[in-house]
Amino acid sequence: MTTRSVDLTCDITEGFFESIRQLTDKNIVMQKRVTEITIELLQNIKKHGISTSRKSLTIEKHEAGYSIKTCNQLHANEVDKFKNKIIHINSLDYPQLKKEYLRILQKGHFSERSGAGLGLYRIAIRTRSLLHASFTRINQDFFNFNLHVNLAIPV
Amino acid sequence: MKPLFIAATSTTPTITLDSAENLFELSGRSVADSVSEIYIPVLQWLNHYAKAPLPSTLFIFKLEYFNTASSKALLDLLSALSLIKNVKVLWYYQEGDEDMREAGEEFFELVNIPFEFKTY
Repeated sequence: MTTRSVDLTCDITEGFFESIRQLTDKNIVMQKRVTEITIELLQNIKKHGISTSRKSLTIEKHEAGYSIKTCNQLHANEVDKFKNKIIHINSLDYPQLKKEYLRILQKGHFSERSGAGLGLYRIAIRTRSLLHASFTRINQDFFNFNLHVNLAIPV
Repeated sequence: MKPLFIAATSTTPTITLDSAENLFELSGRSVADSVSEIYIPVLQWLNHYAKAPLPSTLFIFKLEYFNTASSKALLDLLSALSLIKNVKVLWYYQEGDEDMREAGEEFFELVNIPFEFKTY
């Protein structure tokens, strides 16, 4: 297994794309999907994570595919929103996901921070698998949020 | 009409809107956190161009990546294009990148513009 940690303190640079290109060899489909998912997760952390807290994003390459894992802290008042969104996304099958993604895109229900949670829909569409999330209370105000997605290599 | 050129960065696309040269193209990556700075001048340019367009307009998309923050901006851009007479979209995607082709097909479902798909 090969593991790459993504530097969350920097902007997305040419080095970021090159690093994923190397990890995914020359498989164009996987290269594109891993990059796209990583960007969405990275920007999700930037938008919602507590800026001063510990956070991480790692990509693991294994025989069957890739696992991308993030960890960041959330304000307690954001937890239910994320939890409910992830439960809802996980309840949808692929055609329903696509339909809802397009509906949100067309209606332009974008949040103030932009995106309207479309990133999580896009990740679920690309991975065609469940979003694995856990929320662990740190104290009255903050939770640790772990998100784990698996991307299988198409057979 | 004065052309609009926007140079690419590692997270934003190259944009060329030049009616004198009949060249309308958006290419590269659109994955910045915030994309309004890039797309607002594009939408303004297109709205102005729509008042006196060329007899036909071919708009080329040749995107490597775009994030969900860009997807709404791209849809707004396509909606602005749909107001131009005789407009057509040429949607390029990298050979083997079926996700990018599918993204083009999704936009095609949402706007009333003819699309042609080509690989590069």
